[in-house]
Amino acid sequence: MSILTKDYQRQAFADGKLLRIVNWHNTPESQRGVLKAELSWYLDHYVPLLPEDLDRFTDTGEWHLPKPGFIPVFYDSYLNNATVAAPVCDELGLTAWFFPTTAILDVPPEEQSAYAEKHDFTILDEERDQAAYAMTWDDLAVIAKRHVIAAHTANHAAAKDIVTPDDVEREITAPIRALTELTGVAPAAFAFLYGTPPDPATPAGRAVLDSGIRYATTNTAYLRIKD
Amino acid sequence: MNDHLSDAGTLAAPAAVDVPAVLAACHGRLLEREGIAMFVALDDARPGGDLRVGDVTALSDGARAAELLDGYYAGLEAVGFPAQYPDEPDETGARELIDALVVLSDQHLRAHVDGEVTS
Repeated sequence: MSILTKDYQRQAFADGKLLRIVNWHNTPESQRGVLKAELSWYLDHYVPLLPEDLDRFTDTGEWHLPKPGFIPVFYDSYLNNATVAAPVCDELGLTAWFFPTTAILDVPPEEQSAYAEKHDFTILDEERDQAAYAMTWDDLAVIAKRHVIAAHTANHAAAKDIVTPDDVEREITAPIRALTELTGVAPAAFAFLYGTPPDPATPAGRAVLDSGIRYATTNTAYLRIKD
Repeated sequence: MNDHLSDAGTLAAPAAVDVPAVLAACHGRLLEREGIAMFVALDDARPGGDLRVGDVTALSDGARAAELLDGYYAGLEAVGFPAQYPDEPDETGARELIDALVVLSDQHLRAHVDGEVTS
């Protein structure tokens, strides 16, 4: 049964295979107070999950946690994830998951606006006057000291656009390698643009399934794909 | 959409009645700069993997989520699954399911701090 069906989703939930996540993209300074309040609310109700918690659950079927878990997730390498989201999480003592797109980490600030136009990277009106819109590798290295780093392609690529061996190297293999070198561990998860599940019949899907990464992140599921 | 404030944002909250209105409200929010709460499945897709859940709370929460998903999916199906951007192609392959999960998550997971914070 395809995981993209209501029947699959309903059965997974009924079988107890339920996960709470909260996805953020831009986290501008103007929303710092809201973000902190929301994360505090989640912490009152739920426990932040680490990859090891998911491993244990998918191996045993038991959570072993005092409260239900949730995963706070920050996508796409926005500078405000480094200047607002990560510090707020640190202030709350909360470990979050960051899914950076890696190519923009190397794009000079003066070229980031043009890059953003082509790669679904949203620049908020309130941040238009900033010198830069994306974090740097140095910013990500700081985040990686306290948070989980996952992979999200190099250029915010959709699975359907990753076809050739060069595409696979550029959008899947190289980002995973770079993040592994940065953090010392393989990224915990991988997500395509649009949250497409990895299809083993496609070069992109096969590459993710063979990458050694433990979780495929989709719009509707976190899938354990490796021991 | 519900008046049980202590249960707001949890699976204990009562099911929303006007499902299309909840979806419309979600579509109207500035999701690029807000947290998007989502219930998703967590499954074992390793070759030969077969996750059997014994966790009592997970089973209870999952049963409630499945029941609510049924109602929200049916509520959207009844009005033809209104699309936020009807002229744009669906890149997800599961727009209807995702919209039902969006409603479920908005009502039973999203943090309820509205009106409590100024920024």
